[in-house]
Amino acid sequence: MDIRVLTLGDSAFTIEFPKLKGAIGARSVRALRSCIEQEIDEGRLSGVFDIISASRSLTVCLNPDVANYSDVVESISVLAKKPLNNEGGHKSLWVLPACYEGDLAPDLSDVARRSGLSVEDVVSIHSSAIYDIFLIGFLPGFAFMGEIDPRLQFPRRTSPRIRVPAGSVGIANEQTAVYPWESPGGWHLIARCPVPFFDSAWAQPSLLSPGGSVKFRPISAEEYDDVTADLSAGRISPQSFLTNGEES
Amino acid sequence: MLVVLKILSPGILSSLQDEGRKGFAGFGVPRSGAADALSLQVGNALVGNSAFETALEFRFLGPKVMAVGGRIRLGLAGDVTAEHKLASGSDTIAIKPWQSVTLDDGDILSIDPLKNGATGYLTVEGGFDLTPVLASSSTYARAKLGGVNGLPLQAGDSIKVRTTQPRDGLEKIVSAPLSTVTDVIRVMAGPQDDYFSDDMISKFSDQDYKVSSDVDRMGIRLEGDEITPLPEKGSDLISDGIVPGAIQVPGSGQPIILFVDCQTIGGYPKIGAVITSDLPLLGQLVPGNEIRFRFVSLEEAQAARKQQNIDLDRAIASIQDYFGEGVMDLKALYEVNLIGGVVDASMSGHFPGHLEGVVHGKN
Repeated sequence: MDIRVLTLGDSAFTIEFPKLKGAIGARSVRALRSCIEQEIDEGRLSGVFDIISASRSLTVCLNPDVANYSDVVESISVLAKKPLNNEGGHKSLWVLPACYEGDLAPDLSDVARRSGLSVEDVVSIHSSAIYDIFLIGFLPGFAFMGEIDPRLQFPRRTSPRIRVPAGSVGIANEQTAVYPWESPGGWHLIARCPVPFFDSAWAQPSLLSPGGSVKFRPISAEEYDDVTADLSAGRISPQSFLTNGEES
Repeated sequence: MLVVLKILSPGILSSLQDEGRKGFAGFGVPRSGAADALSLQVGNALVGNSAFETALEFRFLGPKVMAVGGRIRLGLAGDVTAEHKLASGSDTIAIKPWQSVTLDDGDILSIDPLKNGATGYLTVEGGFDLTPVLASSSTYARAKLGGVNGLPLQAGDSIKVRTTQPRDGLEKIVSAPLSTVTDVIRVMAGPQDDYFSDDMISKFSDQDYKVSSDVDRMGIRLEGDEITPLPEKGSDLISDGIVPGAIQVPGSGQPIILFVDCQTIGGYPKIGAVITSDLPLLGQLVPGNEIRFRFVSLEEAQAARKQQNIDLDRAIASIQDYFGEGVMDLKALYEVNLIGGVVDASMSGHFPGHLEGVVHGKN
């Protein structure tokens, strides 16, 4: 595989697959990540303490007091140049409720206007596709997913919002995501999802993981309130939105 | 007996921090951890703790704390002074930077506003009794991780202190502390230095940048002459990994040094990244400071890190017994053999309350 090694100070570097993007890029990154994790499990690459996955690159963080930078770059470059298994394989499918109404969808009418579609069409296009989970990053539990229908692809907002509410479903360029936390953000917000995406008490703190897939199920504002109440009272668990690869 | 450090007033953005949360970037979890890891380590050594024991980090304006339920020994790290108010009587004692101080039940320590630098630490002998979250007690408020309920410290918080360690009676002071205040920050070029012309790279390293008022644990915004990427590259890239110290240049052309609480990936080109040994210096930048970047090679960065580890060991080795302002250091006198054999230091009465330390004082 073609790679580029990019310096990120003396305690991190990025391995990039310059020719890849989208689902194939994400799968290659995932495959390389699992190769590196296996090396670490087998006692090699000591001093490597973290790996950041991005959509077509992976950043390796190392402790410069323990690891020799050049040696780690060399070892990981060797792994990255090998053919990587970037097949899709079996996918878990999450069907997540999302309310595309009123205040919960502040940019929906704007997206409809810019795309020349009706609001109903935008909702139908966004909620009928099954999205690959490319990576978790940016914020705890934040899943980058794609690719969205070309008719809904717009660059980020020119002026990012200072406060995007937790649960906001956004679209930007080829991707869609749900903000797990209130944060600043520049994506177009077209729905709200009541499901929590991160909890440090879970065995795996992020609900979603790369390699899985997601489909959004439109719900009414009333059902949104009900699901929110059921989740916070523990009557339903966030993990219950996982199906066995079949659409419910 | 439950011994707690009670926060009477929190100061600004005070939080509990340790080495940070490592190994969870794959779940999107920022690293967090001490803004000035060097001061944290020296502060922990001051009270006999392991290097990265969780401490109370304060920024710009320090907290006011009280010992409740028993005696607590604290270490004051950073260029920071404080006032120790005794519960018994109306006395107050001025506390110097880099010294330990023991609060008796009801004593209050008021940290003075920082005059030089941005960050200080209160370390506590034995450590705070906390349950780590994702392998760290560092506070990351956005996702409510670590610290006290995942939040910055608030007035009224009571943090449990471990009291299992035996206590040595004498106070300590770092006689040769490390300075983490500077105006030159060393960086390595990359990962997107190829987004900028040679002229722009020179412009970046040849100018004095002013630290803006927008300084926090997520990032440090700078003000200077605009840096623009090559027109064919633009300032939007396919997001890639970022780490504390990475310097991103958004469309405004004003660089942002990403810091300890920064997100895990970003979509602006990064012209360079601050070398490991200079990361603690970022924790001391104050709005209005003028700084300059200097590009260095990997080899220079590695040499700087080695030197820093030596300097850190030296600072820690300089920790000695402290008897208070103007009181002579008996142990030091012994060491230079001035009074050996003349004074029997184990005889009580010479230094009331300090007897144990004189006999068994360990550095």
